[in-house]
Amino acid sequence: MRGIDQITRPLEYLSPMDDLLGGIVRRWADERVIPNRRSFDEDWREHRLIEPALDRLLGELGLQRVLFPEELGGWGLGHSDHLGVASMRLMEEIARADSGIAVAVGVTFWPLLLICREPHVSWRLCREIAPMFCGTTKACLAANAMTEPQGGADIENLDLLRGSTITTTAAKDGDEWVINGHKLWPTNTGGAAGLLAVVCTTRTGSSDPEDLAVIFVPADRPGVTQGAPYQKAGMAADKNGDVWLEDVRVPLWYRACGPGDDFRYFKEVIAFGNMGSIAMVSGVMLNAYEVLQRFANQARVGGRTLKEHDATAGVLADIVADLEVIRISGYQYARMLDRRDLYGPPWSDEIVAKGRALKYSACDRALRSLGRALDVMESFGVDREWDLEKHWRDLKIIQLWMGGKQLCQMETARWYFECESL
Amino acid sequence: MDLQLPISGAGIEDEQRAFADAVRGWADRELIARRGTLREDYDALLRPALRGLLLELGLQAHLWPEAQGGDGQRPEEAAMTLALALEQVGRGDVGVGFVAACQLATAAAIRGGERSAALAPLLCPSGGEAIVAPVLPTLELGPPGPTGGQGRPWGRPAQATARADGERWIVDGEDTRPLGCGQDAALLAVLCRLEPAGSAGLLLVPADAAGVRRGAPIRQTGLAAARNCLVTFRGVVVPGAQLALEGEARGLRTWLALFLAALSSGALLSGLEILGDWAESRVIKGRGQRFVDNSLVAELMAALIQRSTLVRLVVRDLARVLGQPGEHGAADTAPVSLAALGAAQQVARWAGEGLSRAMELMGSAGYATEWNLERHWRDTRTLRSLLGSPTLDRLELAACCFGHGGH
Repeated sequence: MRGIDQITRPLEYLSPMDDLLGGIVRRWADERVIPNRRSFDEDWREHRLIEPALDRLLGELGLQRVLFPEELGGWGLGHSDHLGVASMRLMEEIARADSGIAVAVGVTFWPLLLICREPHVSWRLCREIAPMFCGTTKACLAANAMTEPQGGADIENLDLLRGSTITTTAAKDGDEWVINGHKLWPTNTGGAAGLLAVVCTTRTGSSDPEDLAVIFVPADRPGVTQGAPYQKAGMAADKNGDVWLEDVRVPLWYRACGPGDDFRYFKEVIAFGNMGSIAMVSGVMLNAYEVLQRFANQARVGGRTLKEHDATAGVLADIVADLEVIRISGYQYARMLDRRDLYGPPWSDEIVAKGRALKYSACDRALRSLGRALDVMESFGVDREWDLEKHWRDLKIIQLWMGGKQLCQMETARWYFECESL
Repeated sequence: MDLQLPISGAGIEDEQRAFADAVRGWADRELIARRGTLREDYDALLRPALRGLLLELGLQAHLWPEAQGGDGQRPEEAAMTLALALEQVGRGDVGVGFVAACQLATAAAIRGGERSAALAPLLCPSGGEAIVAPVLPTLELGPPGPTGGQGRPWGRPAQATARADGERWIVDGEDTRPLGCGQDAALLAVLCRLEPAGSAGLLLVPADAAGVRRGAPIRQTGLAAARNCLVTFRGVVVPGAQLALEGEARGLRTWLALFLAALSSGALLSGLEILGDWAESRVIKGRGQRFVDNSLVAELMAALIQRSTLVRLVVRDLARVLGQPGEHGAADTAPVSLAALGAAQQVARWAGEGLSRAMELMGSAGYATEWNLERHWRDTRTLRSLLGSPTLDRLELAACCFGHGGH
């Protein structure tokens, strides 16, 4: 029977490593996640089922080492010009099983990009942090502590606000930063994160890019408090909560890239976030296709299986056509992040805007398709037994994170139409 | 902030408005004020609310003659009253409204029939709530069952058979899927294939009858108040008088369509209220700009108000259609039933999409359970799925209009 491997990927972009890694992750997903995922909703607070799955993938199989240099026990992918495509493949495979786990994994890589990725590798910070990730078989999660209570997605709106709304402060005191502030919603908080990358300002109210700082903070530092996780519509594997930072002290060299460069390369983090989001949408849709295949072969109406029913087959065709477009656009964007020689640096406004456009378009398209898939399945669609409703709930969250659709629209319009006041 | 545009109140009487206002006050007190802390707790919030709605507010007795312990309303007279009331229940909790809708739709379909007097004690018992689980035709999974397809391209087979045995019926059906309420129902309204005739009929089967077995829970996306499970019938003996309706029970689906449309409308109204409350205190772009003063946001919020207005118009018009059987036909006729189903599917879609857009505006607050918006979004999605595939139902409409339905 035809399956998800028949959905088009641009094979010319893939390296042999991609299929090797993808195969490992697919086996993990089939053995460790898919059999348990229907119970994840009830596991949102404790992670009794989710944590072992993360330990297996990140710790034992070693995925949390991928970005670090080989010399430090990593896999060296930070130096690779295939990081985008490899990440697309990995995120897609994980999200096929559970996009909550995919975001927990993806966000762990997010801040590490700032210190592991050429041309802004910080060997000193890599040496300091690598043992947390490379010297253990337990999962170590990182959080990108960005959103604040007063501003929603303002901090991600870098071009317009340039960090001017950030209220979390970092003040120099001798050879240390002293950090104070309150963050909301970072993925992998709620007690899960071992490492925080705190987006803060060295001068409150400043829109000077040199004043935006990303500073690494081990989560066990005195003054760091993580609140309990929030309950959400889905994505139980992604814990989100409040983080309070009260006179937290770290060495000055814990700043990721330095004045000006934190701002510049944070846009690369945003670009990778958009690519990862599209990968997750693609993964969700791949599994939706698997579910629909199974259902349309079993369910009958008017004496025929659903797939042989012309009117229903038309709907099924629309859904798989959307999947084809989403997947190919995701791989294309991932390759653009890898080919700086052709497309420019991945922290450019152009690349960020194109990522925003493709991300929100993929989400809209997939949500429309999953809605139609749920229609086709009637009462079975909203039955958790079939997993489709879970993907539908998770997909909505993918659409809403990183500033949601409206910020995506603004950044897209701003670049393509050269808007000056948005 | 006024979140509603004016629409025609033609045909809505003061008494009907007053009842809807009473239900609104009840929903504010018993559901909206308490759901922030109790969320979807069945025992602490939803079940007590169900008792209040069915017994204290009296919805359960609304459609039964006074002689049979009811309020004496005929379904067509009560169509608007119930639509307006259920809209308000939907503001509080769609699942609670769904349970009431199943009970009311069954009563409305049966009321006035030859056997309704005999069936009143089942649907309107004194002193307790009668939760009803409809078991209607559905898509068939696995090999063809004894009920078979109906040979029509939209035809979902019945899930159970009823074999005539003198003055009684013997009901059989393995792992049937009620529309909802399977776990807590006192009564199952089962659309059966009648044998040996091969026709269809709606049988009322008490859930505690010998041979009725509740199976695995069905865990649904929404409608936490309508806890569901598979139900098996093995040789269940049902008195002949409990064949409530002969035929495909279109009336039940018609009334259910009106009530579910009203619940969807209520959910969207509540979503707008939640969004309005949330938006009042928000600023964006770090310039002290109020959220609602941003043109992108303002346009979207206004579009939601327009959508809600459209939804309310359709619900009220559908109630008027069902309230005038002399003009449009009875609820159990194909044109009226198909019109109701199509309208309800469209309303559920509009409401779901509206709630989805509201979530987009609220960002992470939109999917946090704390704000209760996501619960309305899950609930309306579940209603939409329970109303059936619009693709299949349009084929029946095509057959009705063009004389054929394709394949």
